[in-house]
Amino acid sequence: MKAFLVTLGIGVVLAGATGAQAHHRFWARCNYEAPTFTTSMTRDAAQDYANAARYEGYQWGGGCWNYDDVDSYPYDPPGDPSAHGEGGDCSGLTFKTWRESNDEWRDGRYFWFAMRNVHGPYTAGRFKRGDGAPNHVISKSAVGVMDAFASESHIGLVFYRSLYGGDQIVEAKCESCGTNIFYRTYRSDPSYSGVARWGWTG
Amino acid sequence: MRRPTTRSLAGGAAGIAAGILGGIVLGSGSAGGTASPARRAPVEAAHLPPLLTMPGEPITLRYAIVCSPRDDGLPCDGSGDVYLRPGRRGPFRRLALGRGDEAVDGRYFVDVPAQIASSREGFSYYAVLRDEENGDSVTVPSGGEAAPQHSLPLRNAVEVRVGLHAFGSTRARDVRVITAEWGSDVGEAGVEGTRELGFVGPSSFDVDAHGTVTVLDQVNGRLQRWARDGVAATPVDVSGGLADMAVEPDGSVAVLEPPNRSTPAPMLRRFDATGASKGVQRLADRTWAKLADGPDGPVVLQQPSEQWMPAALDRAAQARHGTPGRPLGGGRELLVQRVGAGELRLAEVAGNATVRAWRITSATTLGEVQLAESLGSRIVVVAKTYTEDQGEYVVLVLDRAGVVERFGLSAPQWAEAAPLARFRLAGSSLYRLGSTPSGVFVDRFDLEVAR
Amino acid sequence: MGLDRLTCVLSVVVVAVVVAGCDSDERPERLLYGQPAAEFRPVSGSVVALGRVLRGTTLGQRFLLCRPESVARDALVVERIGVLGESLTFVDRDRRTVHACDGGVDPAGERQRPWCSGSAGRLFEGRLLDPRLDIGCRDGKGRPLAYAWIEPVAGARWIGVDQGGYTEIYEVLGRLPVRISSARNIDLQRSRAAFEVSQYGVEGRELIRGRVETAVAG
Repeated sequence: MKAFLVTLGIGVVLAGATGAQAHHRFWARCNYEAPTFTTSMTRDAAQDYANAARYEGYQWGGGCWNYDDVDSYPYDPPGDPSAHGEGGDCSGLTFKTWRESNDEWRDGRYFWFAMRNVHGPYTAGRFKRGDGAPNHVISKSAVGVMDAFASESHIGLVFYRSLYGGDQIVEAKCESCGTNIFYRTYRSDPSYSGVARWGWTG
Repeated sequence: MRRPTTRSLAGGAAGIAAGILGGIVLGSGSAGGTASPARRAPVEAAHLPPLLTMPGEPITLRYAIVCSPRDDGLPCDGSGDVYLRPGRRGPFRRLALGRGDEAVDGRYFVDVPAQIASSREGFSYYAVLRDEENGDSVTVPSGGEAAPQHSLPLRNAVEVRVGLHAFGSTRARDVRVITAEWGSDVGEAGVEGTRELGFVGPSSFDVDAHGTVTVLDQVNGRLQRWARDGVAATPVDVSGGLADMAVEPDGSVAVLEPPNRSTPAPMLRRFDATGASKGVQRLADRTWAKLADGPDGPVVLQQPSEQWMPAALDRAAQARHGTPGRPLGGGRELLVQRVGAGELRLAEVAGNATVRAWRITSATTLGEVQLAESLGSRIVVVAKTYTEDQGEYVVLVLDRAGVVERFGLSAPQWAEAAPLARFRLAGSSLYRLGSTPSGVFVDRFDLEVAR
Repeated sequence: MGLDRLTCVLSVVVVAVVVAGCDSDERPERLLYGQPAAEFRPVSGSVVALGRVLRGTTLGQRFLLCRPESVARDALVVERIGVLGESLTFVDRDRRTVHACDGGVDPAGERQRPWCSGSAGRLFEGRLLDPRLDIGCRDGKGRPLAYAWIEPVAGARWIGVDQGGYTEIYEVLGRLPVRISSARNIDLQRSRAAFEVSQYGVEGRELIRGRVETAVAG
């Protein structure tokens, strides 16, 4: 019995110290389940979804998050997809908010739960070009709520327009900035284009 | 040492196996399942107020109500009431918000009754918005009945038609006041680059009456002042984010910082002339657009209230003292509203009375208003004008007759700065913050106006 | 037909079915457009992808089809043509951002060949921090293609990518990161791909070998 108990403890320690466990970090808690096909996709439902990602952190190539308003891994190396921390990056947040499919030729609406770890096939630059069946380029002056502004390296969603002509943008901005709503002037910035999702139902 | 028995060896092996299995089960801790983890997010809202309306223009107040996302993917089950009254006094009338089919401009709406909309004194209002699922509510503006939003009719506005903007015909600077190469020595400016932020340089600046230029060199954690006798650096404890800044009359400096991973709310930090902290104050609202030095201290344009609030006060006091226009002193405010693709409405008001007003229309799309400030009997306006792949600033000096002076300015923005912190007016000169791959600069443009 | 002959025939059929179902592990003789595939002598059975450094104006429409506005028409372009993939790599006027046009079939049917997708990556001190994986293209058989940039290590003149039956060799050109492609180890559902990469010096001595794991990001 004594031998059993001693080695039980050793076994627990061994299980906790596996390299694979440490490597997966926050992603170890996320899942890879199929999205839910939905017939409805409204701009305010998208606002709800993007707004809930605030404070959850930022992860290059991510991702997934858990709605506890805390970035579980706030000091990860920036730009390292292997860090497996919490949060999405700018294009990952847009992909999930816009309920897109990993198959670029599909333009249907696929709801991804927050803990579903997915980034999607689009970078900010590809969103900017309107790549993929769900995405298209629109005039910047026409960009409205839950449309987006995209440059070659960043994309942010319009949360709401604002008084002085700028916009409140909900975006996964950077590792140290996190994901939040910031006032931005992307609309008038020549390096940004207007991008929209086909298929809003309201 | 005793030789282990078969029994103890078997027990040990079983122990290791059980321990590993147990450790893996305990450590996996997956949120599991398909449903989102339980979370009750406070309800949020958004609203774009019609601060300045054209006589006879029908007015609809629209709101977005934002709640915790639903697992079925449907939008928030929201509701709300708007409390309206003509002018700024008297009882409010409660009107329930309707729910529209589209959310592109805010799903919840109410049409302002004609007799209120047509009031010569305008009208004031606030809204209480609710998440019906859990009963949470939010008031917009934050001060509610104590500081409602105001809408005024734009009467006797000077019509200014700007026409098509001629890109590429920009005015050259009069003086390059400062040049700082990228670096960390005194007289240099810090730049940091990440793929996410692009390149971030000094995020804001200010100019005092003596022409001293103060630059927020947040990457290097300091202020730098360029005066006649040279440049001096003052360390300040800032987060390094894209912040706005204003130098107060006594030499204190207010720095308005965005949220970041360690401080998830926007904060106002104040420093004395030596860089010592004079205090930190969280903003009342979740988002800010601009910082200015008001007659009673720093004021910040905040969202979702879309009001200027005295940011040195505590959060509740900020909300109670919110105003639709930037305070100018003497009870006057400057109201600014971008409308549609190419219209800008401006009014200087005193109470319900419009002192002077302008309605600017442009055939080229207008972007954000970088600056709108009084210059004696005139007003200086700097707004961005843009196409899909071009962007420049248009500078207008206006008086009661119309345009006194007009020119275009380029937008040299190699490094990112705070969104509405590119320009300052000091004396009769306009100052512009710019950056190139080699460094940052401030240019001066002398305005041809007689006071 | 006797049982033995029937068994023999069945065996041949089985072998044929198995062979037909497998990708060929043989070294290809031709590149994407039919060019003969040269071999890099230090790496047995390798295929050298074509690499050229040209002005955008020389490439003409081939470059204009995917040139961003921030890039000069006469920019220096590194063109690569391999067995399955083809690409253009170039930088913008400020040398802040490196761009790629990636070749193949667009699964969404929006873009005409040769360019189905593209990438952009910020340069920091002249180097990329991220390979900028692109999995937006398909080959002629509808199989996913993955493109990524590899930064050459000091002294590297050739980059090799294990393609299964052969190693595809890319020459380091134009002082730019090397755009590689592969149809192996692509996980579309997780937007990731892995490349088995080796780097060689000018004489063909292997300098470094390793697995580069990439993810669509940013």
